[in-house]
Amino acid sequence: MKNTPNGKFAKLLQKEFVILDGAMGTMLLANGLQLGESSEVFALAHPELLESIHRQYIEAGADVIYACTFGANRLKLADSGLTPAEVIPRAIEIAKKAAADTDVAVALDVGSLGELLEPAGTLSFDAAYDIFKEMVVAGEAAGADYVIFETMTDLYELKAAVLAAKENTSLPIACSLTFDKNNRTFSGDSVESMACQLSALGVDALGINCSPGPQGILPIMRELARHTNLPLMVKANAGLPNPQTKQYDLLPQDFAAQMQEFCRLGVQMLGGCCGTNPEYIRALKQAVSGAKRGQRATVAEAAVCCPTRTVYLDTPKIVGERLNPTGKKLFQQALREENIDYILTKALEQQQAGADILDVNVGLPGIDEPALMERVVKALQATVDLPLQIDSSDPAAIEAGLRAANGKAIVNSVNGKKESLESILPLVKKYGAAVIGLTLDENGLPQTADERLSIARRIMEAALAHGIAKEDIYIDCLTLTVSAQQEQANETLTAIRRVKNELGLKTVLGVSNISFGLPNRELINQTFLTLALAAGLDLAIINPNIPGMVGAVDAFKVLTNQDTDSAAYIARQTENQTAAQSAASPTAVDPEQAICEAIHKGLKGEVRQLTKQLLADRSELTVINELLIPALDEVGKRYEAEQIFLPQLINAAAAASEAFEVIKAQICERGTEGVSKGKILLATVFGDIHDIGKNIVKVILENYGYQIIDLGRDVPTEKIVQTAIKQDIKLIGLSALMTTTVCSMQQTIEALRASGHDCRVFVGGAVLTPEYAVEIGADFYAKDATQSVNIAKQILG
Amino acid sequence: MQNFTDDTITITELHINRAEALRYLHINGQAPAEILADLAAAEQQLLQTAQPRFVWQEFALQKAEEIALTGTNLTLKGADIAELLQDCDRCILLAATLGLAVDELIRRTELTDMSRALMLDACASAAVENLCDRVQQQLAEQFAAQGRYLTDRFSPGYGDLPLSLQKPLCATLNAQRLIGLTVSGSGILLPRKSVTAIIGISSRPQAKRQSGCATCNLAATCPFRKAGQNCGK
Repeated sequence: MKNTPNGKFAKLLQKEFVILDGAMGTMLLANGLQLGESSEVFALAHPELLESIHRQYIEAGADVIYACTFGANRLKLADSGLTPAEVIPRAIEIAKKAAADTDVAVALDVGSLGELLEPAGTLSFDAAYDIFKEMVVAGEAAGADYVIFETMTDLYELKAAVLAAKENTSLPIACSLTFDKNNRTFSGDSVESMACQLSALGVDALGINCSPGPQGILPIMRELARHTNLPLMVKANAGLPNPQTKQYDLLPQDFAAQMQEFCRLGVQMLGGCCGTNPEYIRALKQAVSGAKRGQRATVAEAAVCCPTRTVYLDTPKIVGERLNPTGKKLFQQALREENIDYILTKALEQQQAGADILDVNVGLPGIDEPALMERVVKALQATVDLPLQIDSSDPAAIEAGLRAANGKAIVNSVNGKKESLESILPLVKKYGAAVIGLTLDENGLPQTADERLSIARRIMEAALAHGIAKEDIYIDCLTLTVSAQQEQANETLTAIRRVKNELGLKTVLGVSNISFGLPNRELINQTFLTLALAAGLDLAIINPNIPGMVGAVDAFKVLTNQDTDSAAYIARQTENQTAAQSAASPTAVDPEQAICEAIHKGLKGEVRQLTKQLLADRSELTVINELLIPALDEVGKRYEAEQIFLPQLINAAAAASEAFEVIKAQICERGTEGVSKGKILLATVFGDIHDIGKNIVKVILENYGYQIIDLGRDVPTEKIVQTAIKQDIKLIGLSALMTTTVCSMQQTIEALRASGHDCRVFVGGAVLTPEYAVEIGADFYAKDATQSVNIAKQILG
Repeated sequence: MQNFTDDTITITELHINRAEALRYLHINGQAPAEILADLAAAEQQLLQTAQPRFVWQEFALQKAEEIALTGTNLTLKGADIAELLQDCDRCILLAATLGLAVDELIRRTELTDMSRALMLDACASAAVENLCDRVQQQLAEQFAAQGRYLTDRFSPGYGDLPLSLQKPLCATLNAQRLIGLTVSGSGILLPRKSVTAIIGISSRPQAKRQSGCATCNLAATCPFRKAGQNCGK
């Protein structure tokens, strides 16, 4: 544990119980604060009142007082004309004055920022980090004894806060989340993920505050205690607020009685949140005096998580291996074009197929791997709710991935080489990840199980020396190709068994290499996977899209009595059967006519199949120009004539895009030039996050063969201008849905003109009109997606 | 969806007004059967995902040049809100949201099925209005029992009531802490499918009068009006 020079936090934890103070806002409201007004600004205007509140809590028995800094962040203070650098030192000074000549500790109190982080909101992780950094630096300088991040509802925001504190101060860190009645935060984060992520991230205490009264928190705390070894704290509300009067319903004695339950759970730090005052703290202090803290069982569970889902390695789990450019030309192309949507659909596909964790590898020669890793990780966690495995040999890319990851990730990988251990293990520790250790070293690939075991032991010792928990070390005993080195398969299996038994570590294995060069690879893969599972494999890195591989894991769990009543097995087998039936192939008389009809009806599977059929004796360009585009034009016309509606137009476009996927794959295989008719940049302007309209336009335009550079939503002007220039894009489409953000549309157009870049701009969005489009300097107004096609044809052909 | 209650008001289920959802999809007249089937599926999915939450509080009004809410530092500016509250000495502030899970569902669905995403978006817009309708309905009944009457609800961005009111209004209701509702730097409510509103309380029955294009600040550019229709509010 880190410590401030005076070591006050460590001393606090030597006590049986640490009494925290009660509510600040409630006390200020009772003394003249108006609803909606900044507590911090009000308190500094009334320093005697603030000091007296602190003193009352100390007199009531608090061992810790929270300085009045909860909302003293740059965003919340913006309207007050004050800065965190002005407010925080002052607030801490007053708290310290109240605590002078006592042992009472002063905590820097930091609440959630008030704006949501991406992807739910518009605040970037880095911006959040900076705002927290400003607060913790000021707090440490002013002499706070530790920092408490409380009332948090988003683990990602909390991660920014914790990193800001760890990287810029030596303050001990306590973290407290607020949960809703469904035992999730407002962001959907679970208690298990909170415990999993924050325990690994290396904070000093975990807790729950606010939320629905002591009784409401109790079951949540019980679960938290089951999944962490960290000291626990609770600051509960005085019951539930009356919706009409907003008064809380518990009296001090009842509050204190309910809080005693937490002592039995082993919770060490106890205090009050909304609705409490010094009377509650006095009653609490009395209630726990002389009591003993309940014993807590030691937790040693292997787990990784994303905010909404924790994956325990108590039964074998599947790591999807498909987010990897090796040997996949389309994936490589997607990475080079930064076509993130392609990557996301591959991720969703694997989740659907049964992956528990996703491996992410974006390494390609000549690519900025760290930047791309960050971008892909952020996009992935906005889309799939699975823990991630950051796969790279470049420490900078690993760090970029770990920093961006929302949750506890796995690092793939270190190996027994000194250089690898020294450069990567510190990152694993710092960002609170689990790590895969490959059993190879300076001497190359080991030939025996013995050698593998000894490298594994070395990796384990190095990881433990870096402070990484034993249960976070996973060993990969290496799959070698059985057609080349037949005796090695058995060595791998033996090594797995021995790593499990002799070292007590979890194991992981990439399975697919085993069958290279043999016919019916799937059969070899599946059999080897089954053997490895029997040897004790915990994480199977496989292609989950192959039903036989996922099926082998499912079947193993049935046969080893891990899947009770075979429920999961039966569910997946039934699902597969249904899918197989519905994929029954259509038989069309005339494929040209059939593909038109299939597009009109939005039948994706049929379009895919028919495209393959058509490409057998037609060129890609013939299929595009003579079949797909006329079909789409027809659909567009019917939409214009209101014979069909927007959902049908989109369905037709989505079906046609299946055809383009097939064509793209074929061209990519051949390695010739693509069929792009030119690039179009699309963006929802700065400040606006309504992007469904822009995304519809994208789907439609892509199907006419244009390459869309989609910059997403809330896109700063400079980024649009820079991208347009850098990629020499001649047509720019901008979208805005709010009257308040049309002005940033205008600014973007002005900046594009000022840059001298030769381009045309079309605009769309609910609040725009043709006249308004002219007024803000756009070249075209697109009233809907089909009109944007006409504009594109006019400019790009 | 679970029942949602703040102990005075319990919403047992949301209802998505089909006609309203179709209007958001710009589908007029008879919708094709395939669309109706898809829409029904989207409705189900939306209702399963939504986590409706709301918070409301009653305030006394102090009327001068601007209208102040007693005990807060909130003031209401503009002719439209003054007109709404002309018979009122108190008001209710209401904030309601479907929660972040709905935003996430729509975002994820956009990747795999844009048409479904569009329908979910329309259903969510209809659902959050329905949530407000139901809360308001129950409030109206409770207040009517005390001989008090509610006006229609009026939101920032309607008429001349500025959108910049979102932030102080949410702060006054402590909406982030109580229901997870925030306001972005550019004044957008997040989660996206959320509503804030002001409802006047009067001792006299209040006529419905705030609906229609006349008080809507989108009237000049409204896509419905451009097409010779209205959004139904």
